[in-house]
Amino acid sequence: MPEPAAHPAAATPPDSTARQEAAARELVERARHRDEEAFRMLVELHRDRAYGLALRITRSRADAEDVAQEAFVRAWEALPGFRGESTFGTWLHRIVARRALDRVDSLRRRQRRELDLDDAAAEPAPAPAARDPLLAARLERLVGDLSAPQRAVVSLFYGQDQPVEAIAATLGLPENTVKTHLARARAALREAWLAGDGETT
Amino acid sequence: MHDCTAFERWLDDGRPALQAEAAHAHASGCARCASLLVLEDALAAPFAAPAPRGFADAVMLRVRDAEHRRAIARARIEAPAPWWVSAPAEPAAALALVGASLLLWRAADVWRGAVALAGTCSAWAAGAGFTGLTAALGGAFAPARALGATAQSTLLFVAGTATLAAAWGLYAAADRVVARASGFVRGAGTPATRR
Repeated sequence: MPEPAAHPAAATPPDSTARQEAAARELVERARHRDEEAFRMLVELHRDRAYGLALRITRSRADAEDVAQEAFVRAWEALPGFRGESTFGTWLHRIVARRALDRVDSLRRRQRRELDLDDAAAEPAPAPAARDPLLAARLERLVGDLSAPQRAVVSLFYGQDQPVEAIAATLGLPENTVKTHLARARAALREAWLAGDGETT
Repeated sequence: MHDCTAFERWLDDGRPALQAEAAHAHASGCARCASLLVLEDALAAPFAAPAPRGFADAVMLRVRDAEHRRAIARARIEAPAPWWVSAPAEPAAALALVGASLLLWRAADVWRGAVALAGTCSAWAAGAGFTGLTAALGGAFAPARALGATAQSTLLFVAGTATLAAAWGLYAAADRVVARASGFVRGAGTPATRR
């Protein structure tokens, strides 16, 4: 009896990262063609990072949830025009960052009008899931002390590995402004981090 | 790498591999720079936070809601309003209104202007050898000369309205021809975005 033909996947075990990327690309392609089930799977794949980015910028759970959801809806609407020049995740995170910054701006304007306290900034953001929760919580505390544009720039630069030019395009800011935000954020973070070393050790 | 300033510059440059060994060697003997390296690693770590329960369901609800609203908007574009609703919104209707107002306000002046224009056209046509046209224009205006100012104005108004209606009809026909040729429907977005 002849041996059944081995499944191609079994014959050449594909690299799991490449397989995941291919699966993600397929999902994006299906979602581009208005496949809601595929889009739902994309939402489930990217929701934590999108929410995390929104949370880092807005510092408010409710706003972060709303902003992340809005960003997904916007992504769904714009998907037919998505050319795949960057990954879906990078593209989505640009939308999230832009919307989160807009939300912070409008909140600030409203608060200024109402002469109220800065509730959004006062609400502590929960520590994101990381390998070392204590370290992550400490970092989030420090990041929370930065201004909203600085938080957005730092998140995109470090978390998304985006170059300054891409961040400038995403946030609609001049490149030099992004560089200034980045330099000031770095300086502030390093200073606060080193100052906190004594407390934590 | 011999000092902390150079180490920080290395961090700012995105930790290039070329100087990585020297930088790590420096950090191993400097508590401050070792701590900065920990900060840099923490910053570069993914910052995902668990999304609230029901997040995906809420997104899909909003997606369906957006789709529903788009479908309604599309239906509105594809099923245009009846002519008696859309006609007043057309530029030709506004022009007709302006023309009618002008006639009512300055009927005699408009009539004199029209006669003068007709005379000029007639002379030009006669000069160009179109004697038939000259005779037709003369014939058309001859009976009107005998009429009163009100009748003349009414005649002009009817002629003006008919001219504008004909212009509008020509424009609409041209629009349909262009739409058929390019697949572009006015008010429905560009051909690329139209689905």
